[in-house]
Amino acid sequence: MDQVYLPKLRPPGFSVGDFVEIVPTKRKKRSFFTHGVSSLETIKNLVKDELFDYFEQIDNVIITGSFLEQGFKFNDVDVVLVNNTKIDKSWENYFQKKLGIDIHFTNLNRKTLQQGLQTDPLFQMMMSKYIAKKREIFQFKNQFNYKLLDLHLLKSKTILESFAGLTGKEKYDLTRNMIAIQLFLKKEKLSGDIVDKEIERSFGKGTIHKLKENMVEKEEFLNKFKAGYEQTFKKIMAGLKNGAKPQ
Amino acid sequence: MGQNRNKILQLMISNLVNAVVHKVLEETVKEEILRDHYNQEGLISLDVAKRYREKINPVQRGLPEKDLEKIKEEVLRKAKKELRLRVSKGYQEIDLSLADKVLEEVLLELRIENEKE
Repeated sequence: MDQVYLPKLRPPGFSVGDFVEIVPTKRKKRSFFTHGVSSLETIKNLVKDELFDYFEQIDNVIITGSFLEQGFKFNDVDVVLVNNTKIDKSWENYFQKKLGIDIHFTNLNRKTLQQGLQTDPLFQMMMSKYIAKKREIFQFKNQFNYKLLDLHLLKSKTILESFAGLTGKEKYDLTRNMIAIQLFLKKEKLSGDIVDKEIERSFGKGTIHKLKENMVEKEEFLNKFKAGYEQTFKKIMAGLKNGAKPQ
Repeated sequence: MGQNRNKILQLMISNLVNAVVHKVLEETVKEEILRDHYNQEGLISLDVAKRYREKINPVQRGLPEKDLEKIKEEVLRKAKKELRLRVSKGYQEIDLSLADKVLEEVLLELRIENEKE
């Protein structure tokens, strides 16, 4: 148990046997490191501080994902814990109760983190913006694990199967997934902005807004999507066959 | 109504195919994916299949034997075709028999098939 020491000569109200309440008056100033994040709303800063305080003992805490986008349209907060600790379900409950938001924890060691950045387009895109307790240096080149890319691309096939049954957000996410894979195969370093720009370039200006609002014109969109999907799938299969770099 | 039901069944089947193929392929690379991250995201095709399932009566119990047979036959045929395509392209270590097991699990999860007593 931690102890609080009071000076012998103290103001009235602190006699032996009195009950007192200890309340922090000022939060300890913490330094932190940002990557790709220019500003953060005040309330998000509080969330960040709570997380960094709670995981003080953990080697590094990386906050990433849609939480760092401007505004409050995030569903949850993605937190990567760089450590070898087992994730405790009670952490999520604690933050849900305290802050009223869902936190999704991923526990990775540095090797797996690096591997994720090298092989996974979506993870790379997500990690293009982050706030961390301390600086991390990531040096990597895109590595093509075609089995993984095939698995990721397969998710986007749902658009071709059930266009009408998807929400706007799902359509946007699945389109982003496919475009991220396409760019990844072109050895580009990914960020959300780069992928969004490519969506607008490939499908036309205003597509992102229309996708999110679920107002995109089906036939025109699907024709382009199908062509893109098939081309990407072929590239991945060719890579599998050659067991080498994509053509 | 009958035509509509068939259409929804077909939509559900195509999403089940995708989900089964995905889960079988996942097994071959399970060491290499950031599982926590992707588990949280979930499989949209499975979510969509669930949505269609909820539109097919009876909702609270398994579908009639005739529908069940059709679903099993069609999903397995299409899923295995997708998987074989990959094998033909040089994809190794795909366990085709896994598709049957995965489908059984998914059918129970979506209450398309009743739990065996």
